[in-house]
Amino acid sequence: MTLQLRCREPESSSLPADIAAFASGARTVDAESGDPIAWLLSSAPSPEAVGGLAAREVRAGIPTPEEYIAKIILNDPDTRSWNFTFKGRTARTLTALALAAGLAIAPAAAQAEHHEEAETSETSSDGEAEEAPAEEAPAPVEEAPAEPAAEPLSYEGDALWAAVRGAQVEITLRGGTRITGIVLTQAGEELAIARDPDGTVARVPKHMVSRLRVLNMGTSAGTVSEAEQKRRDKANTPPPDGKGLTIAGTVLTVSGGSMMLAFGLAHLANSSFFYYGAPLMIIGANLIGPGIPMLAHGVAQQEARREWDMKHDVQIGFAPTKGGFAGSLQFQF
Amino acid sequence: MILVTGTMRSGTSMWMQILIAAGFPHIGEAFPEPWGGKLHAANPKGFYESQLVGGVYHATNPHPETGAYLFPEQTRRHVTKVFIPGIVRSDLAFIDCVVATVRDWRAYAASMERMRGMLDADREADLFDVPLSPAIRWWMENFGLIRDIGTRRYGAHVTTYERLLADPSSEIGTVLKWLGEGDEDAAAAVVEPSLRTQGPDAPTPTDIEPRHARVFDDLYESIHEGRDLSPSFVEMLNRTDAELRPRIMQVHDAVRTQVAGRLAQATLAEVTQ
Repeated sequence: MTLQLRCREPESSSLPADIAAFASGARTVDAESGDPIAWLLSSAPSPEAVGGLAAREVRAGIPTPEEYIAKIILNDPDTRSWNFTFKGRTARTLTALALAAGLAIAPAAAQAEHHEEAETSETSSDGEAEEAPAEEAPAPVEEAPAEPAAEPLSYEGDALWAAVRGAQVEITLRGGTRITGIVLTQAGEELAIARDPDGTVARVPKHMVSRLRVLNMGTSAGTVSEAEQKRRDKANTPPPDGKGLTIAGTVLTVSGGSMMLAFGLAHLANSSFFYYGAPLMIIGANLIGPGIPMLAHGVAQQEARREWDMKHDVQIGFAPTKGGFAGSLQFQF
Repeated sequence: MILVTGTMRSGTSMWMQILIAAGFPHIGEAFPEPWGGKLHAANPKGFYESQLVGGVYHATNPHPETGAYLFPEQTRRHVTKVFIPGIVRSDLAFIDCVVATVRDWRAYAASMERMRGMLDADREADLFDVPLSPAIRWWMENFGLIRDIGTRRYGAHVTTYERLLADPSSEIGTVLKWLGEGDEDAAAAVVEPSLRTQGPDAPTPTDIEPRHARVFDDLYESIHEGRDLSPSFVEMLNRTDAELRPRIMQVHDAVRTQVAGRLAQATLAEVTQ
């Protein structure tokens, strides 16, 4: 996770090439190397106007080592992130508990991490952290501004991320790495992003963000409309399991069928039974009539419930990685 | 190519001499033609510079006048000196290894002032006549080098001039092992600590704020001690560069104006002749 300067071997990037960074904008003009476009201009182009390549100020800093970025994106165990997985019907209960616990623990964990880093900085012997400007020291929670609206907008603050919570965004990290996904939440100095396309949750330190682009605003948490909430509630409510209908339909159908069968057999044995047994046939038909539709509807409901259950399972997996384990927690809605 | 780089007055010439003594073929002359007797005193064993000090890229290779072209495959083991701005310009195909040397920024500033005084005597060259604080120039170039290494990730070994003088055998041995060949004894014999003209007691330039001076010291110390740069330290370097950027850009604009003025004077002189 460091930038090596001694005896380093050449290397390339394992991340996808950021071709998009070069694709947009006006055609760049290299006024200092005889670009024909520059000859057509009446005066020397300003860098701001046409993006003159030769005169363009280099504003990029030293990139953060890619290894560090990869650890964040992959939720490497070294970044102190853990995932848990359960499968089956009980998963919903466990998931609810895990989410509730996570909501309670995340800020506390972030704060604890914060304190730990601060203590490490204080006791650091290399002096790096000690030289950090005092104004950048993390403020205790109790000293946080009471009114979020007063906070200036910045990538390292809370106000901006609160506004885009639930939105699909494209985040460019320092060094050029891009992450696309949905902003789930934020805790202290970090964001939780559900990455496209698989929903893998990544922790992203806010200070590493150099650019933010909102792709789809979505619906921010806490401002859900009533209709949308009803739709979500409906989507999250399991359908009837159809057991009652199936049992009732089966009883009616079997009873009615038995009566009609008995009537038929008796009629074959004795033709005069028709007059005595007519009520048996009528009752049987009246039982089968609603029984068959109830049975069919019950079976259909059971199938629908089975599909819903399968979609709402939570899949969890663990896989050993270099230096630890990597896990995945997959929700299906 | 094996590129030796650093700021001026940081030991690049000594590394050229070391690698040449170690047996590597080289590009450059001990005393390039326009440099006469005055600069000889500044570096008695020679500078070993070539037309590639400004970088190996489209403006220098092919040679703009003769059209001679150095292919990357032909020059993999050739040593040549390229100053830091030239490294940033150089095509990656020509950067096989970079040996970079960094000098203590106070000693560098003092050495640059000394060199400037030597040139002012008879105005031999405008090379050092740049209205840029030596300390800011030290930062600008070394930060640019680390940024380039971190960004393009070519093979590089960054050390300090003082580390080389303190333990030549060890440092040279490390570099030659990394390069995979070279006569260590012959190379180590080149180093003469008595050649150093500015010691560690050089004064702190007054145009640098104390907090920036501390960052300069930390960066130098990290390189001198051979420490890798942690993400938090890299963040601090980036912040410092952002803070110094207005000063750098002011000087940048001033230099551009100055160069444009000199070009106009030269053109006018040609026309009137």
